[in-house]
Amino acid sequence: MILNIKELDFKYNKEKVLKDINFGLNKGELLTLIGPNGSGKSTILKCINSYLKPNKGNINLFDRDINSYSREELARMIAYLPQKEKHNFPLNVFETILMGRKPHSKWKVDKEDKKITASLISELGLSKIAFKNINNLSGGQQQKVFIARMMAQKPKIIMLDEPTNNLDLRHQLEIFKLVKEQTKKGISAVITMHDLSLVSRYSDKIIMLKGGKVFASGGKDILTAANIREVYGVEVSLKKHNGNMIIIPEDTICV
Amino acid sequence: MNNNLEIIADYEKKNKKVYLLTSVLAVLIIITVFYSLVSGAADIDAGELIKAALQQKDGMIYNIVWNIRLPRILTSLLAGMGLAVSGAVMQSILKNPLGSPFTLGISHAAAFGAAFAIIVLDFSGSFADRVLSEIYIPAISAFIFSQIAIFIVIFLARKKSSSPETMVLAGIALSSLFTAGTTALQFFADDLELASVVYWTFGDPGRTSWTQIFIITLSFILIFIYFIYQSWDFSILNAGDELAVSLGIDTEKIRLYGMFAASLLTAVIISFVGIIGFIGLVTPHIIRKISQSNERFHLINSALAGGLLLILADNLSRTAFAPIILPVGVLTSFLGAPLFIYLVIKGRQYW
Repeated sequence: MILNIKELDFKYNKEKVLKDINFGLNKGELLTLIGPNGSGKSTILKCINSYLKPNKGNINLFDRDINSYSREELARMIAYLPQKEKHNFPLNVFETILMGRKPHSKWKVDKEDKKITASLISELGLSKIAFKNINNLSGGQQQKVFIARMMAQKPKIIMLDEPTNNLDLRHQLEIFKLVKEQTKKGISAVITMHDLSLVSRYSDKIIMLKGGKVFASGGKDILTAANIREVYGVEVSLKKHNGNMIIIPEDTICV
Repeated sequence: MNNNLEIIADYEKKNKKVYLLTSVLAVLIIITVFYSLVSGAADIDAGELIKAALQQKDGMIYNIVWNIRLPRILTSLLAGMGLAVSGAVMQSILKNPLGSPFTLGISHAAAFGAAFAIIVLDFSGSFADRVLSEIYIPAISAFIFSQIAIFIVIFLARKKSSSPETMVLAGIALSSLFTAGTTALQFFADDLELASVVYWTFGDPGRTSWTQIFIITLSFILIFIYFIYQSWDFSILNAGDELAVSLGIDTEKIRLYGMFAASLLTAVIISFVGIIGFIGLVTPHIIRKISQSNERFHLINSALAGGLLLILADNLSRTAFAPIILPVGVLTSFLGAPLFIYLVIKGRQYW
């Protein structure tokens, strides 16, 4: 277990957002956090990122409390892609990916940083747009650039907050595949998601959240019609197609 | 592998263009400084100038060069550089294209401080006056009040985890408060005091002494080095706090220290030179328009361009209505406001 979360509580303005969250993450595992809007998915990521300080409980990374690491040490182990990223003064793609080298190179870019950036650009097929302004790219391309930036950090864990939101079908798949490839290299991933069909197809472990609590956790088998009805308030039917599960919403129900 | 080398080569090529801009600006500054030394109300030709510079003697030309023109030019250069780089840093760390000493209330607080010293405090002939005459009491008061403004802005911002919005809004509120204070003081002032307050508010690089230039230079160099060292952090801050934290940056600390350093530099300049508007706000935008570069070179180029602009503006203000010398602060505001509106209308993405 490289990441272990124990009895995590988080309060925001006296309102409990997270209650007694427990889960662990293994090497090379793709873990998905699912649940309705406001169920606490992003908050968990922000706590692991140490952007938010939990009120109770601990988060252990390689058997040490994350508070015992410096910010830079953490940044060399965990990379994070927030839900919204807005650049008021935009950089080009190369510079944006180069940012990922910050935790490794104090204040100045060195040769190694440029090499790593360039190889990520070719690896992800971004050569043609390498010097384009990040704000002029499509949502899908931007997301790829941001993932490249996470890879430049050379992390052990990547965390993505709803990375496929607002993306077209092709890019949704591409982003998910890209993350899956990283996990095959031994990097662990924590993702928050809404598309349950994609979740069931790619996840190794799923945590289902409801109202800031873990409602169910385990493998794909927790994605049952009963659980989804309980958590989302939606009646669904599940279909098998080419070995993948597809979740079809039928109607909303009163909870 | 080959592809990678090409990408790096392209990156270096892009950077070379930025270095070119830096060199052009530096050369333009040297030319303008020299031009400003020889041009003015009294005609001096280049040969006489060099002679005067080398001779350690009194004389009219020696006096004009060493006691009038050179201090004025150096002050313009340093004030322009300092204001522009502070503006650029404030814009980056506040993620706001409106960040500048003006919008954060620092200039208005300084003006209030100077008015307070001129109208309320009367040190003439006292011990303090003799000791501090070199640094000039309104300047000290202006500095103290601008620091008070900064501390209030930073204090309020800390209450809300140093968010950029809080800083900008607190700055705007303080600006009106200090403007109201200055107006109230002026209401109770006599004609002479009123004249000195108004004179102080016009930014004028011609009023600094060598000691003051030395203080400005020292603060500029120290703070500029700090900015260059932190520039990568500043540019990451601009992509959002959550991301910056995940890249190992102590966002609150960097934002507070950065704001403090930028405000300190501005306060030192404004206290000695008076209020010079728009250089801090407009210069970084001009640089962004002509060159896309990383934050480090954005700061360097903004500083150089700010220095160049202020020397040019000062030349114009000295010569346009010669022999009357127009305060350069009036001129920069006249030129800066339309330029700023032009930049807004021309529309870059962040508007």
